[in-house]
Amino acid sequence: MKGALLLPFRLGTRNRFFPGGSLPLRSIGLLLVGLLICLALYLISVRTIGYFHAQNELGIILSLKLLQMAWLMLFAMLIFSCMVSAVSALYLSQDNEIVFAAPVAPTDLYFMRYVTTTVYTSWMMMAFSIPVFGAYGRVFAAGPWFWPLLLFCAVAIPLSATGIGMLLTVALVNLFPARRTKDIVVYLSLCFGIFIYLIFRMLQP
Amino acid sequence: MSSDDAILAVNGLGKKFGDFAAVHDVSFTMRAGAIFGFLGPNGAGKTTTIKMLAGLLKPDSGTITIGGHTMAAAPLTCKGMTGYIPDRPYLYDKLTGHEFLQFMASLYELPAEKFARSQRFLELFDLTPWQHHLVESYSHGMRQKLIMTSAFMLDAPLLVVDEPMVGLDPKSARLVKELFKEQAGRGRAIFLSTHSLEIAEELCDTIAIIVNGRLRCLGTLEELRRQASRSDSDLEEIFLELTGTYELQEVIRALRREEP
Ligand SMILES: Nc1ncnc2c1ncn2[C@@H]1O[C@H](COP(=O)(O)OP(=O)(O)OP(=O)(O)O)[C@@H](O)[C@H]1O
Ligand SMILES: [Mg+2]
Repeated sequence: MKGALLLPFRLGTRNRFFPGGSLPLRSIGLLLVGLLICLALYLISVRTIGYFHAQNELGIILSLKLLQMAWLMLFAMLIFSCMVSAVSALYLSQDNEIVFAAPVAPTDLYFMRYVTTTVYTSWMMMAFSIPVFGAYGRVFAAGPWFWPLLLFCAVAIPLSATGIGMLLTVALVNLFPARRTKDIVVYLSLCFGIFIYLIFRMLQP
Repeated sequence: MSSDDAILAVNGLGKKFGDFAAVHDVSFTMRAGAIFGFLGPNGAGKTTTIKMLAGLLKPDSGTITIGGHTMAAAPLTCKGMTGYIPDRPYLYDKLTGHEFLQFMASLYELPAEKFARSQRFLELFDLTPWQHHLVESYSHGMRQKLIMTSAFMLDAPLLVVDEPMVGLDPKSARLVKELFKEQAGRGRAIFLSTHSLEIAEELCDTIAIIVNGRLRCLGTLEELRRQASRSDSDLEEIFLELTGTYELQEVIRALRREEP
């Protein structure tokens, strides 16, 4: 049942990038541009962190603090962007009508929205943050466990961020019913306020 | 009609949006093989009622019983027995027609041999050559026909349709009417809301007219005639009489007179 609900997401994504099972120039181009950006990010990060690293102890501490802040920022941003898209994914999706009319348990529906929201909100941030964290591994000459753990975190962080974000969204929407779009806009600005506040709090290490 | 052989029984159904009662105390029953026509002016509460039948809206009062199960107690069983065609269906643009049917079939856990029947409906609707194209390239009518195919393919005991003919060409409209009759002949119950009095007159054995959220009348065409005390009139006149818009005739006449 859970697999069935994810079918439009899986097939839709496939049809978008590989129409008719082929690999068109557009998809190849997109992939190349993405890889180039990743590579550029990696090289820039290696240079910057390498520069800090080559300085005295202070430089090393600074770059480590930067690493912590980067993870925190990433986590907070993922929660925020998930909350924004969870409102529309859970309550305003156009396919809600046909999916709700079908004999589908609500838990399966939540699971489907959870998986798709995680992928939609985090794929880009994760794709572009892995090179940065990879650069840290390179400069600090990390051991062999660093790399599998990095990949594991790249999956676990978005999953937990979306979990928290969706929980907050459902709680907020139940407190203030998102019946009208106006309410939703108010809600979004509220989110943004909380987000700014959190960022300021966390940026004071 | 005993309530045992009723496939759909609705009792005292009500729905409020804020203080506004969109549907108030609606009751009726439908047996297998029946076609039930649901008529009413714009904003009368047809779509609201249908959404409650499909399990999309929670009624504020009253019960819905489908095949002996109540919607409140066993929503999944009820939904599994109901095929639903919304008035403005949403289809996934990035799926092909065939993939969409596959999706619907797996949601309803349709066995493979039943899914194979979808080909017959695609053939009838002239969609066979299009079934492996993305839905984003379909016209409005083709989308409508695809969602009809998915509903007919399910072969559910109860089919709930909101304004089936909107956007269909005459040939397809004819075909849909014949398919409704065929399904009813095979013991499937069909509940449809429509603005086309001609469809209601031709297809439906029971007609209900809803005005301002209340059932204004319910019965066969004969009974409706009697209620409107217009023994020889057609459904349009009965409809205008019973919805209290008969004075509209005066307006139309006045408008015609004003024309140069
Ligand atoms: N979500 C909603 N919130 C508030 N009011 C609503 C909502 N949905 C419907 N209504 C109101 O309920 C009434 C009935 O609407 P409904 O859509 O059931 O009409 P209908 O009979 O289907 O009309 P039509 O023939 O135009 O399709 C309308 O007055 C409408 O304004
Ligand atoms: Mg309607």
